[in-house]
Amino acid sequence: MAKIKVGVIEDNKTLLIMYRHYITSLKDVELAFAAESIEDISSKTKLKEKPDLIFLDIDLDGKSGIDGIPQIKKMFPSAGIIMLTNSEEGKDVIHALKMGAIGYVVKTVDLKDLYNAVIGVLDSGGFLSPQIAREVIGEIQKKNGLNLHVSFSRREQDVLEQLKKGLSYKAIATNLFITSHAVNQHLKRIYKKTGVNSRGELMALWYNEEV
Amino acid sequence: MSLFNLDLLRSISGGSEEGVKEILISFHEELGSQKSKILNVIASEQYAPLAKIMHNIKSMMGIINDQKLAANVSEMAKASYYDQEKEVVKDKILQFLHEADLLRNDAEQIINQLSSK
Repeated sequence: MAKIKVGVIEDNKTLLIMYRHYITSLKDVELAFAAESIEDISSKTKLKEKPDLIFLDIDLDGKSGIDGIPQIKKMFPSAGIIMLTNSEEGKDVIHALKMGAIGYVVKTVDLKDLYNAVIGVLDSGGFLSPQIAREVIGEIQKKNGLNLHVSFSRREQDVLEQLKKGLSYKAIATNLFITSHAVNQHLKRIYKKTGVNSRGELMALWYNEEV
Repeated sequence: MSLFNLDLLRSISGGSEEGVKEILISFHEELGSQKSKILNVIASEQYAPLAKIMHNIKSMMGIINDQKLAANVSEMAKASYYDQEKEVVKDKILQFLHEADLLRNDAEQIINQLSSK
């Protein structure tokens, strides 16, 4: 069976080296190129072969990964593009998918996720990391005005998780590296979204599995 | 004991010691580069680039053994997204720079050991 040819565009050199080593070590996958920028792959001399799949960092220096999708699709029309990201913001994911990406992977040192993404794309035509899938669902539900747990912003979810542990506002502030004032601001928004007026009411909602 | 998860590094590089060395050399350089950027951001009080810098560092922390430190960096990276939190996270990040130096020193030692083999 022919090997799947994979290209990587990532501006963090350490990660790029790790991806290159990992992909090279796989039996059924072959590295087509490893580049630090979209401009970098424009130089044909760096290309060994046309890739079947390209992992593209979303937050590149210079032209962003999302803005670069049309250029990459022009260069490699048959290649699938999988975004690599630090961000789990649902709206970024939807934007990238609309631009033509077919997958989204959260950057992690567990490089097996890269392989899972390759297999996921081959098997079903697309791949989303579980964290990303949850964010996308949240984003869609937010647009539909649903008052569910996933309609909270990431930071509000962080505060909620701490709150559920029974921590004080001060402890939450310390754990999240924010001020007590910022905790209060997040809580006000959570109260508003859930229609409660106190921490007690919020916890009651939680225990009734309504949050 | 090394501050790095050397078994993981060997696994990533398919068992190649040269691969481990290459990753650590890059880690040493990249962390040094990000440290300079942090100092520039803090000196200039222009915090906009901080989120990207901290996320860059966060994504490199998976190869260290100290998971508590990695989790702290992850929280710093999250907080650096929010303007109102940058003043607070700044102090945490400055404290982290000391840890970053320890990591870079350890990486250098391992690189030297691998080079002398």
